[in-house]
Amino acid sequence: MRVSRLILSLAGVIALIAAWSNPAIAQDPPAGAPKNLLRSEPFDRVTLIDGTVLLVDPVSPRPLPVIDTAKERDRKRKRDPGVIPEEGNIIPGKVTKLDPDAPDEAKIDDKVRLHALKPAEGEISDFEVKRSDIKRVEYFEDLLLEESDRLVLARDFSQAFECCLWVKSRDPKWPGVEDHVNQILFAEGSRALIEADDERGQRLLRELLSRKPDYPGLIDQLSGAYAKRITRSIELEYYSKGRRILHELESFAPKSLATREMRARFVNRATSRLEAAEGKDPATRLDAMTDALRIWPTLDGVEAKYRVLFATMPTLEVAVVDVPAPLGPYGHSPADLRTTRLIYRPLLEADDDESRQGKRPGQLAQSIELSDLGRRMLIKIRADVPWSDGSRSASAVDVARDLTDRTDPNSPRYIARWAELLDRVEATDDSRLEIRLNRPPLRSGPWFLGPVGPAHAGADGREASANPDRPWVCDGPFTAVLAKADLVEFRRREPGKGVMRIRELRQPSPAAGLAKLRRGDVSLLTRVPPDQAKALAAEPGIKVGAYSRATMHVIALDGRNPVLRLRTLRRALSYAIDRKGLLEEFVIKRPVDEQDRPADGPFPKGSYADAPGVPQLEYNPMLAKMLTAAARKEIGGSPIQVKFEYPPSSEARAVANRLVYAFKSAGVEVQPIEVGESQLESELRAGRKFDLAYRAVRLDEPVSGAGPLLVPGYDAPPGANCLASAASPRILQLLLELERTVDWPSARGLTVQIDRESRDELPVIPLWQIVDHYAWRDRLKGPAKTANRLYELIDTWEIAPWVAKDLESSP
Amino acid sequence: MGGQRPRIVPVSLRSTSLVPIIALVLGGFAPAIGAEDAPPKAIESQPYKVAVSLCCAPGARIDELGRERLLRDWQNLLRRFVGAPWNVMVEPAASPLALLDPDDVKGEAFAKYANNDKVWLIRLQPGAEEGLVFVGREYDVATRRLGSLLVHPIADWEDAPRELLSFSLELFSPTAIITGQEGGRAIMNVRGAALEPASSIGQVVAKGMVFLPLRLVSLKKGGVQILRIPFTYLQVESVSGPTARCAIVSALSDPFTKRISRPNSLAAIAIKPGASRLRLRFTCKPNGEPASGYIVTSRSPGQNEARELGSTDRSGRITLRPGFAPSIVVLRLIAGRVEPLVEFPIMPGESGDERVIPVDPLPRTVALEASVDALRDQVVDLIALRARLEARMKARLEGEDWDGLSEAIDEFKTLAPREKFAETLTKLKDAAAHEQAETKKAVLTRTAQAELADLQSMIDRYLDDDLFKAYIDALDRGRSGAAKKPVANAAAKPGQPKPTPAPVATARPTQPAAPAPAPAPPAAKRPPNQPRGDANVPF
Repeated sequence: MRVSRLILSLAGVIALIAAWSNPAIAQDPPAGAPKNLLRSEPFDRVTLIDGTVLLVDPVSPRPLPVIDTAKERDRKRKRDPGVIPEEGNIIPGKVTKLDPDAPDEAKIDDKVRLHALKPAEGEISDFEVKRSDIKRVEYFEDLLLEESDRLVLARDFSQAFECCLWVKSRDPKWPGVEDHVNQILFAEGSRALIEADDERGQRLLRELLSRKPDYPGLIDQLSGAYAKRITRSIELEYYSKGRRILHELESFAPKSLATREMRARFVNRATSRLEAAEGKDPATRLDAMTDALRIWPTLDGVEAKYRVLFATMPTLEVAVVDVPAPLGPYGHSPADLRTTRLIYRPLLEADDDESRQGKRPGQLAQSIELSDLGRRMLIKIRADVPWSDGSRSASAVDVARDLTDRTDPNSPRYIARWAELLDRVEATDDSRLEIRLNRPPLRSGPWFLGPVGPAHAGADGREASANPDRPWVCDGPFTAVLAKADLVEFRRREPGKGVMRIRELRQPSPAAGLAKLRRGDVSLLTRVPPDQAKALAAEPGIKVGAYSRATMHVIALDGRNPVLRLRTLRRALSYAIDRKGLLEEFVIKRPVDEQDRPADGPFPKGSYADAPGVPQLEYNPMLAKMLTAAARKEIGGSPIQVKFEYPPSSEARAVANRLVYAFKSAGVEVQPIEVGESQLESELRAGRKFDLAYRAVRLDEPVSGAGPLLVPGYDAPPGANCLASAASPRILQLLLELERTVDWPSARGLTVQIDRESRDELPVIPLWQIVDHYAWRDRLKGPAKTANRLYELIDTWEIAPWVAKDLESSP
Repeated sequence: MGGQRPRIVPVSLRSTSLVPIIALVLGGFAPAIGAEDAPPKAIESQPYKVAVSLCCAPGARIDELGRERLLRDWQNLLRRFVGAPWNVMVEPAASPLALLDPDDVKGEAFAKYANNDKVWLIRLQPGAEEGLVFVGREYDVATRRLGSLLVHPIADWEDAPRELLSFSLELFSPTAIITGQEGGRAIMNVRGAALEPASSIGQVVAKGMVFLPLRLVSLKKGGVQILRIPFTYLQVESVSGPTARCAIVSALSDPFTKRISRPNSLAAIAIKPGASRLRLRFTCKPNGEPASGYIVTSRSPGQNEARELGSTDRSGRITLRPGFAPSIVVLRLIAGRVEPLVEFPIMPGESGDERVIPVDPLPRTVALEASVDALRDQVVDLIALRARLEARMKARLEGEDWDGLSEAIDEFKTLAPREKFAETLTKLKDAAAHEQAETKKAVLTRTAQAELADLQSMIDRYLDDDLFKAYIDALDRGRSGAAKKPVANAAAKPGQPKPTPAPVATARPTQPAAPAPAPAPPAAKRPPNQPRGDANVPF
């Protein structure tokens, strides 16, 4: 029984499916009806009272006036000649009311002229149909709106919108078209939100909001979406962006639940940040207040407290691309060079007579006496420079240890050139030091510009104890208090008027640092992307300064890779680079000028080391290909594969992939690898093997800087076999000759010769020279328009408190 | 270098004053100790009397019994495989020799063993990584020469006697007297070589062995001074009975010179690669500054293909690890890319003592070669561009695309003319010659001359404008309706450059320069990079 019922049911279902799929029975459009309305010619569908459906050219007027049956009957009655009015038709002496020239209404209203859309051959195409014979007229506009409804259900919103647009183009006031547009906006916006395309969804819903604020469910939908975006902004700590979204939300839903919740979330987070720092030291509380105000600037009563606390501890927040790692008395990376002067005093502040006579305040040497053609030096050390741990003052012992550490291949402070130069160091007492060198140096000053660490502390400059949080022992104007992967903090050792704290915040990218400066989250940016410097200088509240020396951008080559020792390949790589094009198009994004220009050698234009008359390095992809083929032949035909390491600076990121593409086009397979700036630079200087590396080097002095520029591991310990990393033996020999030169004219001549021969020998592949910029908010007073180093004259800098105020109106 | 040079320098050994020297040195002291009335044996028939001291380091965990068993088994193997040439006497465990460290021993320590021919100081100790190793040295009593430090690992203790035999063969350095020269080869009589060994393993001398030549000079007071002929080696090429014929591998032009005032004779002792690091230090003449940053290459004697060993450090030093080559090699110090400053043979691991080798850095020559290299790069680039344009012109001509041909010709005209490069090269040559004449120091060395000649020939051969002119003619004729046939003939004329010569043909690595066609002196039979005469001899 059950089985037979089941069979019957199945049969019914099958019959239903068959009937639905049978075109004869299904309600198809009439013959000739277009399937895609958007691509068809406009038509109307007329249904007569006998059920005939006609597709006709659009009728006119549109829509047809509605026929009122009572009026029609009355009109017919009046028109009937058999019925004479009671007062009569013609009254003598009176003009008749009948207008012989009046149009015949019956003739107009009774019939509609129709033109068949596609009549069959021999059929009549024009008809006159009585209105009373027409059962229904479906206008093309209505058909389009119906189609748009269907497309909305099918989530084909763009087609649906096109239907509405067509209707509007035919008749902007067609009944129902605006409602349909609203419906599409809502449906599409809601759908986008579901699909996590928040930006699009909100844009569509906001458009609907501007069209019809009281659209059912719109406010709830939009509030939910805004709340979601605000929540995400809070999670990512983009508070100013979150607040801006909140203010937008408040503009259309000021009293909604979502608005209240989001506002409370900001306030709670700011409050909890404050509460977490309660009872802690002033610096922590100040940071908490800064954070809290950054989260919610109008937090009750906090701003006043913040200003009071800030006045006791003016804090400078700096956006950097890289922080020193590890922080100590080293000079391995750009981050080290930037920060070490803050916490360690050098023996000499500058390589000049004023420093040698002890006239500069920020140095350890009181005086330096040279004798025996500079081979013997007697150095007097200042007695009034205490170490931060309070144990003692910096003395000759510290300098002696530092200078001898630089000769120990196992020390991270090892400098090969110094190790070869130094004969012995002797501290005769706490304030006197005698240095003997193996040969007269060209200039002794550059060796004494580096940081001098404490002799009684560890090699890393921190207290020698078992304490895991060993404090740094410093003698500079600041002391290091914190060093993490993304934050380094320095604090002034003695109270003063200026900047008391410096917090270097590592940014994931140069663009992120720039955005923080623009938002006001930081007061100083160490390096502005070259294409942004001009625009940034024009922004209100921001000032831009330039480093006094141009930065040379080069691709370093490791000669320990036999392939890169091939002169042919080096030339191929050089020919493959369109220096001017890359510089103009991707780095500075403007035409080259005297400051920012393609390089023809390792030394910057305008420097005494720049050889005159050296022709520019050409871009010739065809020659690059041919030379690569030649290089491949030299190594036996195997493919040339190298790695290309580059730092995450804006310039390197902008061109890295293009360089890889250029090399690939020339026939060299290159694998790009991004490495942190400090990590890359310190590893290269320590003698790590590499293939190609993007380097940006600011040369203080060409004679002393030529070696490390052309051979990254020039000063590395001998075990790394770093001299072999020189891609050109000829240039290496010139560098070593320069190292032993004792007179200045010969040294200058050699640097010029190195520059000239480097164009052909290509120990590195020169790219371009750029003048770097730094930028600061105008709440910071003191940075100069031009500086050798970022924190130059930091003692004179002042910073004012600042709270980001929101404009609480919707954009 | 030396091995290739035919040099015939007869060495007279008939001087009566030399007989006692040879007897004293290579005949050993046996005649003095043995029966005085018996006629002395010829040295090739004399066995080697060897005193062997085997000491087991405490870390090796080998007791006295184990040592004795090892020595007993080893002596059995000696009898089976070496036989007559060796007369081995094992020193007791408590011998004073057992206290000596092979790595740090001096020749004076063996003074008490003058009645032996050789002393082998062997120490069994734990290896640097794992297992045990034999470390040892040979002292040759007659030549008073301490051999290289040798290290031999023991793979399996059960095989220790066999390993000791193998190590003994490595330690053993036969001695010989140099009886003369023939066809640029040295002829030696090797001691013990006439004695029949128990097996081929015990053969005293074999092809490929390397000997160190020594000069034995009799002093006025009756003694004998043994002088090593520096940077000279003899490599055995063939053995005939006790006589070995050796190639002379030397940095000197005449290593066996007769210009010695005192009576003297020549002897030799075999030398093998040692386990010491070879330490060399190059200094610049005349101020003794370190020759830093120069490349050191090595090649086998008689071969031209060199491999780079490294570069000298800031102090001009280079340390070559033991085993960097299997046998004698010729080292070369190169300045710039190709300029050889010095070339000398050396045995890997021969000694751990640092050798100081002064060189002339030839700064002007190296600067000249750098300029020539730069100019060559430009020429190579131009050749490549011209070849590409010539190929295009040919295609346009064949397709009778006169406009295209005209365009290519115009592009060709924009290229740097041949005269520019020829003129620059001439200027370089003239400047170098002028400088050489003025300073009276070598600037145009053989390598520099070869480089200049090479570039000159490249300019002459590849920057010929005949083909280009032919295309211009063809264009004129083509436009005026003439046939292109003559041009095709002109394009195909012999001696013209091929359409696309690869730049690699001219971009040479740091190989010795090819002989210079024009400026090279006629007596250039040696490779052109070789130092001339004794000018670059490192002492």
